[in-house]
Amino acid sequence: MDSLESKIIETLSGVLGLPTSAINMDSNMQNTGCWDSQAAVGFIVALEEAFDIEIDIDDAEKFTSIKTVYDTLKNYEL
Amino acid sequence: MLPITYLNKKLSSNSQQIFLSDTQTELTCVQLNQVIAHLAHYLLKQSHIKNKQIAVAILLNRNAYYIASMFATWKIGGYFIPLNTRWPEVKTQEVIEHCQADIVICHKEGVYHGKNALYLEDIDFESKLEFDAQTVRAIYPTDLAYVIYTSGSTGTPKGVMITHLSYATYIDWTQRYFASYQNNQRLLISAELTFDITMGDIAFALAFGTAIYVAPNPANIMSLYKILNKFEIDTFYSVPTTHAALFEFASKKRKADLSKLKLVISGGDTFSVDLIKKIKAVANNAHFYNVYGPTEVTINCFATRVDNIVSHIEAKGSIPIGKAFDVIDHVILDDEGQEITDFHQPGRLCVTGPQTMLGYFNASQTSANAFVIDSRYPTFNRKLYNTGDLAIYDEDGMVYLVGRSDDLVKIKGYRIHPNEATNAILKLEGIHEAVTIVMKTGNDNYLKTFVTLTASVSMDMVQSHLQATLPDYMIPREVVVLDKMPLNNSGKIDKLTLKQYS
Repeated sequence: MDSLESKIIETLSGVLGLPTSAINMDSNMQNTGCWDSQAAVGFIVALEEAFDIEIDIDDAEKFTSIKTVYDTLKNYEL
Repeated sequence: MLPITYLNKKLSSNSQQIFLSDTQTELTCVQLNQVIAHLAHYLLKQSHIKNKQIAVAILLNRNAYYIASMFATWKIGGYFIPLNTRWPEVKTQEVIEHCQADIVICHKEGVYHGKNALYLEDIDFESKLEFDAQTVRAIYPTDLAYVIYTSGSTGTPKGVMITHLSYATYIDWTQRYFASYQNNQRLLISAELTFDITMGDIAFALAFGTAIYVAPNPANIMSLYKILNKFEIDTFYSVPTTHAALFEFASKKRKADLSKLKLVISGGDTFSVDLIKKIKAVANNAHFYNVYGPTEVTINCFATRVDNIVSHIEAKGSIPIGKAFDVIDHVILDDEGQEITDFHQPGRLCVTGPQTMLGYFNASQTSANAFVIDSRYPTFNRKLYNTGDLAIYDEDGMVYLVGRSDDLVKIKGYRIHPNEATNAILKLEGIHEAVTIVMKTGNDNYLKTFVTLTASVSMDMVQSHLQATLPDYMIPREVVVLDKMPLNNSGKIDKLTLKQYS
């Protein structure tokens, strides 16, 4: 696990109140019970704070899985 | 004027104006007219019914063709039953069977393949048009416009039958009540298409010719936010939980701009004054309305603007549902079925008027049970629809909801409603949401309240606030802090899940 992946997982873990061990690269809104539409909003805001970035809304609407978040944020200047 | 007349009037004018979009497909009035005509032609071709209404179940993906199918059904004098391709297959089959649809318009790759299936993919929208409007059965005001299925307390879905007259009455009310927003250009359908909030959106569009934008995914808040901006949506009707999430997001998003919004309408659930403030903070050109009504009374029957009475609401401690529509007669009844006229005395809110449903489809006993005798006119045998909600009159001339009549419980000999505790706790600054449910131990009832709050509020503060504002018997035995409230499919707070937390 690289530092980007672990930071994304830590951020989502903080939003959902789940241990980081319960989240991995395969986690998404379908298989992670409490990751609902409201939590998704909190996740985007928390990511912006954690990485001190502005996430483009076109990207944000696709943030429904850890993998998508990871693949997208790789292209941001972090 | 019947809904189809509103539609025809719109489609015959402003021919190059976009009237329906799902963000991928944009249809002008002329294009939509063509699509509707093709759909109508195929619907008529599939059905051999004469002299009675054709029932069309719509099981399409969430796109412009779904809404066009609703209009096409009216075009052939029929009524539609909106279904959801994301429902479990068992529920879909159950509703299709129950509603006795003559035609199910659906997708080839979908779950339904009965004899009465009409596949959207088989419709050639480029073919020469053969539909002749003169050949279809005329619509009568008492014909059905649509049947919406709601979950019944017994577990069996109930099909609420709404007539063209009822829906036309709602469109007419929209035209009068929201007259100052008649120049609004674009509205966003953000609710499930099986909910009557969608019918409220369509009524607004028919009333004023406002273009309809269908959000592809009602659960994706970021997508809703993007569409609001991209298409400069000015009219946004949804449930409070969707509004709360979206405006929360906007309030934290740098450079958020929702200044194009002119009208925000929330209905279907209660909300706190925090939401009004939040909307005002990020969409300062928007007026915010609370609307209330059961599906059985055609979308809504009470309404009030709330963003201009914030201090009044803060002083009262709860949000009013406002005044009844000018076409709705309402009454608050006590346990004996007698009218309550005193202020602040809770009773069952009952209504009647041209928006009242015809009944539940193929469920005569359930339909009969939904109505009560109007005790004000004992010789009329007139029926009122019992909303099941408890309400009070206030000196300010408005009606306030205080809970559901079936939630009333006796605790330590007192007859109370759990919402009294909820309302008290919501008055404490920093409490975002609160829900109180009734718990049972042996034969004893007690209250348990779930809250979401800001970090500055401690449990000690909550307890001292409750002790200062509520009598002993009404103080919840437990107060549980949640990060967020669980939501059901309608976007409302899920009380069943909360009970399971216990």
